Amino acid sequence: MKKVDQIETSTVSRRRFVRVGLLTTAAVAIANSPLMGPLLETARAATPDLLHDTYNSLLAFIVPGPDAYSQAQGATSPTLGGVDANVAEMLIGTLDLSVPFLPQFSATVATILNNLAQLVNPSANSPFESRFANLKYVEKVAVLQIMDSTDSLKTLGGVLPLLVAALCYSDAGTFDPATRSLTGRPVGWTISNYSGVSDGRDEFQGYFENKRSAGAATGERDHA
Amino acid sequence: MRDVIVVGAGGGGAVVAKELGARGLDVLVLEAGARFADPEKDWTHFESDANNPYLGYFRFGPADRSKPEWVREVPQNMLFVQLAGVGGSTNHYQGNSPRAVPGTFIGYDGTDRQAYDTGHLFPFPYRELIPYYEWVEATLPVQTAPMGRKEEMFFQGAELLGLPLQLGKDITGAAFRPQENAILQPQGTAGKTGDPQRIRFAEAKGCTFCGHCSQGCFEPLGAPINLKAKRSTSVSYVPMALTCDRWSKQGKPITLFADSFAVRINTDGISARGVTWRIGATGEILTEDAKVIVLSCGTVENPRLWLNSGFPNSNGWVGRGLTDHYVDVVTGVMEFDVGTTRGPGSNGRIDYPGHGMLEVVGDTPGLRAGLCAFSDAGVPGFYDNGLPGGSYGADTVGRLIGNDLKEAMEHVDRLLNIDIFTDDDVEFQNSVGLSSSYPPDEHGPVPRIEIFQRNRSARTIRNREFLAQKAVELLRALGAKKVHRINKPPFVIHSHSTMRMGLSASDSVLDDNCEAREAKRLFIADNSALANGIGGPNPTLTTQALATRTAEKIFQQYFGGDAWITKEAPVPSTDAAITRALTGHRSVS
Repeated sequence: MKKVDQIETSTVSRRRFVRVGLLTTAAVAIANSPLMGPLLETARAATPDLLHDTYNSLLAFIVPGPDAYSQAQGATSPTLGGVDANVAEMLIGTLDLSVPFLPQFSATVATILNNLAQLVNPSANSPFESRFANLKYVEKVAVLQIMDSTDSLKTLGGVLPLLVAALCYSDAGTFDPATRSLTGRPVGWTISNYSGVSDGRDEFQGYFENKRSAGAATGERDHA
Repeated sequence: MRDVIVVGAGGGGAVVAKELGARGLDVLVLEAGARFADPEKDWTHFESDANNPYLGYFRFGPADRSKPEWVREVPQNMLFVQLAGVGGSTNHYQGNSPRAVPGTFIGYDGTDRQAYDTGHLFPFPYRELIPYYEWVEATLPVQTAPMGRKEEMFFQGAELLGLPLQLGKDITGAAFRPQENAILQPQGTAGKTGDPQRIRFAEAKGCTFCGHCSQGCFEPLGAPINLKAKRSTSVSYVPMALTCDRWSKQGKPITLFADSFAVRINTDGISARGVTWRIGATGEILTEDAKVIVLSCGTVENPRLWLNSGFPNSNGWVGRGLTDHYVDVVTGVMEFDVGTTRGPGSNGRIDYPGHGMLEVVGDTPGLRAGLCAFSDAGVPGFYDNGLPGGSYGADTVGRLIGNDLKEAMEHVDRLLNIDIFTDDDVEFQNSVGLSSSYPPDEHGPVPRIEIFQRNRSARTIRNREFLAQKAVELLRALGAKKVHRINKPPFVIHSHSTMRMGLSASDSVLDDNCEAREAKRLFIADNSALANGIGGPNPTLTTQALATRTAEKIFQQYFGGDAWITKEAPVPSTDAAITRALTGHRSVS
């Protein structure tokens, strides 16, 4: 084994190291889109309140609850929802990490949602700073439909609902990475009636027709 | 000079390394990701810790979790799931280890022989692979899965559809059966209690039914690493490879370097001669020569490495022919608890040769909710996004969001989920290549993965619809309160055939020994070497059987050795000699 000074290939530019992730395709497509290009400038002007409103309303869209954002969209639920799950910051942070070469990608995504909201309902101006947060549920579906049918936004339209739903129903809201433990019972566990993690369960129901190996007809059903 | 360098310590590479180490060869294994030497410390049961695609320990990224994952261009709505690290994707797999469908091999003469992708068959008969299947099944070991509640329900449903029970390991017709799993059967208190004081090794042995296959198996607590329930290669083949001298008369322990990303295969113009790799922690670039190189870095990184190394691609098939089983999910909301979150990921299956397979699947709530919301078919009741796909009596088709999602997820343990794995065609259009729009990363030009989901072959689409209909029928027969078909975009948890072996030099990269047609002494041993999608079954066992065959071919062809698979008895990875070697104890009961 020997050490070499550089990778022996002319196709690799070591000065162009960039680390990117799952949503990079969306980011690049957005950046290259004539329709969406200006969003990058607009996104830099996004305020924390605007981000907060936009992502809470997205959480309420995918997993509604009794919160103000769910009420504003006209689709509520008596049980706790995505806003209560304490995952908004995790969602924003995850989006930012997904495209490290594009600072504040979460702001870009929020701007996309709010600009599409403007297209869907130009008069949705209140009560929130975010236009997306002011949409009715069916109007938010229309935003998703536009994303699904727009080449530069398809990846984002596909991944966002998945990511939001997964965070809301996972342990993300109470997971402490420093201790790798939970600080409380996650909302997602409560609203799915999940019993929580365990090293084992009382679930073994025996073997089908007592067969413990393929091709064997014997085998005792030791318990059921 | 080494005898062999294996690139990748996942489902296939670890097999070649162990087999050749056991023959006494000097084997170096390079793994790009984390070492994962101590699952009880490395892993937890929390989804946020394990499964976050950007920060989790299960991702395709460097060992250092403070660094982002590695880039891949995926220019469509798609989720491509692969893991880096010793064990690769077997660390989060369900351990399902069925054999391939015989109709996907040359020489098959069943009456349904025209039902398969006959243009892209395996270049040797199915029966030739059986001794290698048996060898791997004994080594892992593979055992018949027990039932949880979800399997009891699933089997009832299969019987209501009029399906027979399959008794053997070889697929002979449409039938249901317990999975053949690379998971140790429960013994003692395993599967009988959630009491943490009573499910430690050795009071509990084998699967404890914890329900955390997707977060990595480290049960039972206290068990030596080679006695953990789920037989990821990180706890089976890799420990064997590292202790070859302790259980094989002529064995020589392999050398394993983690955090070592191969960036180039070196050649003399005719044969592969060495590997150059980058160490993640330091950025150092190292190189070493070997008599034989084996690529096992997966269906994406193999073609990337080939192309970045400047190797020829005369017929254009490097990276082409990606098969992914065109996965879909149909979920039934039952009136009662079916134990969705308890027990292994899947212990029951139905095979429909010529069409694909159905599996009953359970998982944790975050993963399940995310999968319910991941579709290419719009939002039920609003729009279908123009994606064809029948309901066949399902209540909804498309992504579940809003109160539909909340209603479905209200009792996660009442969800009876059926995953659909389609017997899909090898198609030139579906591919892994190099991105022209992204900048290179520290390992060179980055890969681009493309599946033309809306332009798949008629047979592939027909097969998927057939399976979706059967899944809906099964759930309806069981009295599901609601049935939801998600109609997914490419959800690639099985990927294969991007460096396919084949009969014809015009549409394959590898010959029938899995040696590259255009680079001697270069072999491939992972899912990318498969000639096709093996008809729908989970691919890992077939990849491991084929990797065993490839190891034997290498030993015979380049090291003057004899074949051993039909002459010797395999040593199980749970053997006491291996346990002793790993623990330093003279005996472990």
